[in-house]
Amino acid sequence: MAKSFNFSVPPFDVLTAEQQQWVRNSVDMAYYPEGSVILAPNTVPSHLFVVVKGRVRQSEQEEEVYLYGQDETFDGRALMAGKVVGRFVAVEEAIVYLLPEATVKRLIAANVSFGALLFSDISQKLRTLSERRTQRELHSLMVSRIEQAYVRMPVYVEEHRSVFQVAQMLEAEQLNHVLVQGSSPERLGIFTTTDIRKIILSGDDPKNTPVGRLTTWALIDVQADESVFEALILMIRHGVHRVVVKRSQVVVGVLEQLDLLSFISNHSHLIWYQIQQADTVDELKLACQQIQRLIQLLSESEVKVSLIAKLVQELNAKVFGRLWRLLAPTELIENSCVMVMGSEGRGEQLLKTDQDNGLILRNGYQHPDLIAITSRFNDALCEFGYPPCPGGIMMRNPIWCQTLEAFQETLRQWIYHPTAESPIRLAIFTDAAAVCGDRNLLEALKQYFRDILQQSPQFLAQFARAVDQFGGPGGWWSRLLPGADSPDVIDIKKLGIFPIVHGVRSLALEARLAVNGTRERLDALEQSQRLPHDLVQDLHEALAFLMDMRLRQGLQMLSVGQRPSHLIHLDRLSTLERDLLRDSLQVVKRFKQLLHFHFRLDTL
Amino acid sequence: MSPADWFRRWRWRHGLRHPSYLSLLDPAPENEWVSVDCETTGLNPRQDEIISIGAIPIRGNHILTSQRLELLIKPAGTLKKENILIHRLRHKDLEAGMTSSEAAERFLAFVGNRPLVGYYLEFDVAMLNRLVQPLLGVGLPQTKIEVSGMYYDYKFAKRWDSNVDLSFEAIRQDLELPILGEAHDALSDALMTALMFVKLRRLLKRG
Repeated sequence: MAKSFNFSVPPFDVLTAEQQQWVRNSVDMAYYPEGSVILAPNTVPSHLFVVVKGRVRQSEQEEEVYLYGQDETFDGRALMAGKVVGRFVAVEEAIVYLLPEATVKRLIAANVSFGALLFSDISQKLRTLSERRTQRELHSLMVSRIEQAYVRMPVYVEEHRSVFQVAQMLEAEQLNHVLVQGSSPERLGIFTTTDIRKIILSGDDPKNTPVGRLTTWALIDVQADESVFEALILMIRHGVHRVVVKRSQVVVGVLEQLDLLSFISNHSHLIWYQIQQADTVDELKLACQQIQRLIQLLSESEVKVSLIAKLVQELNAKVFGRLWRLLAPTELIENSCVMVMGSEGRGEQLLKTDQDNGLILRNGYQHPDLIAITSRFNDALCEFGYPPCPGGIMMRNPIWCQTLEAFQETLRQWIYHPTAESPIRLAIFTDAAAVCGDRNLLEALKQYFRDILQQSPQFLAQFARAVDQFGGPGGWWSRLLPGADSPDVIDIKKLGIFPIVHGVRSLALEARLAVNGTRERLDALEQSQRLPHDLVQDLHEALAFLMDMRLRQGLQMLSVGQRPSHLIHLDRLSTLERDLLRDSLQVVKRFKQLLHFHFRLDTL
Repeated sequence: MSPADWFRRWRWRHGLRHPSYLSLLDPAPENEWVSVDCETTGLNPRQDEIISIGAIPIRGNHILTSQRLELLIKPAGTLKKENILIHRLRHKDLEAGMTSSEAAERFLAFVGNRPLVGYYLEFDVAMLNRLVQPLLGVGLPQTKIEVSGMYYDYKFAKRWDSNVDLSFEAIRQDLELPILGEAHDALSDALMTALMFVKLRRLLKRG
């Protein structure tokens, strides 16, 4: 009621104080005993319902569509359409809030975010979430102090020095500003490279013009222990690019807007450099440890997961390449191609999980120490924190270290005489990317793979079928609610990420696409009109959300010293996250249905 | 109507100050009630005063919080200068409060002929009677429904030898109702009472 309405859950968490009052003034409550019908099909809804306690099942044609639990809202769409589609029944005694249609419409008109959260399809919902993430980013800025950012040491000149002298000094010291000391200690100003323009425009002689005449004397200063956010606000408000940082009355430095912005950006170029410069395996290991730290930093600063993944893929590829160069003789490097496969090849590996790698040798090439070198490569990676692949997909395994010809024959065997492991091996190989050596070797192998697939269309259906591997009945909805009987843990990889990745991979193989990443494949499939635009957008958003969730979970587990897993504890999710997870899994379901139809999986 | 009822009504009408309040005796509407709770300066119905009244209409299984009544009443005699200087909120509270005669009028107009529902209603009714007496000349004539009585009936029907805990919190927990709002706030208590009432009505109907 008035005082007890929960404004901390979506969509109500975006309301202003005034809008909250509209809710308080118009909300009613109702009690529905177990089994009673709250909304019947084809009736005209007059209220939006918010569950205070209990469970409400929405069903269409006798099939459960969704089970609503505490703090969840229904049915925004019906309210706007003026017609109820499904049947809403209290499957457990329910106490609900009733918000009249008039109030809901008024809120939608006044608050765009509220409307978006209330009805949006998944893409919009996710966008709303990311907007809020931006707010959180601002929040984390607010708590960092200025002294944690890069504050430049102050450099002083006296005001009677000529502009020419000061310009020479700026040039020599690679500075873009100096502080100008006036006649009295309190008189302090700033002269920047932009001020040099003024003297040129004025036509005065730089050698005879004292710098004091062109100095900005009104300085904006901040205290070193104030928040970074405060400094940013000051810069925006006063239209300046620099503020003077003081500790009580003493100037300790100058904070530049550029440094401030780079404070929140990453340190990736440093790691890059470190990898390139590593001369021993041990040095490389040090650089490698930085990657983990970088991911943590980027994740905390709410950088988009797809960007993090791209960066990490590049860094990992650099690590693999550098390591191979440290271990293998030049002759071997020139006559082979190191490939990474699976998620690493797709550029979707965020935290170091398993290593999936292989080596393709030029036809007829042999090296006496091959086994020792490849073993050392795999062992070193283990030491770097990339655990060995449980399926043995590593170059020290002879299956994954063959000449091009032998590899081609192996692929043919996997397709025509499959064993239990062949589908997963083929799937992982589909995503292979070259990191070092002669890339043409991998290209030739992939071309061969695509060619023989064309000759066996029935294989693709068998291949695609794996999307159902972790399928199970649709009962996972109820697990998205707190307090359900089933365990409150779901495997986000099996239920969400794998079906998307593998389904897209199957379609990409069929379309003979040469691109590796799931995102790139999705875009290519949309362009060639093999997938509808809406579904592609939803799959993009769903995948990003699921990967983001997996990353955050993984980082959390690493921070308490556990190995990252794909298990998501539903009770630790916010209502919005649960909502989005549910929506994402619904997209997965839709996609699986399309795959079933497309590859005629039900007839297999 | 039993002779005793008839006699009660007759006596009530006899004492009534103004005929406009005769409508309070109209037959109660089907399926409608008003949940009531009062906050007072103390627990003695003869001396202490009502400082706030919370009332929420109930229709069937719906609790119409949007049509709630919340009255703040200026207590006579606590308007001390030093208190106001110390607690500025207090000053504000008192400013917003109405006189007891105004409150009585508003309360009667709100409740009308609908039955009253409450927890330990006897106390609230005694306090409210003192409030409306100057206006009506008599006490509140509406039917009174005691939720702790309903709860006792429900428990007793299930196990006649049961030892029933009738405290507000025990009833709430046993009926598995969520806590809404803050305790000892007239409206929040009226809301909790209304929830108990709708659920108990259902439980008793089912038998």
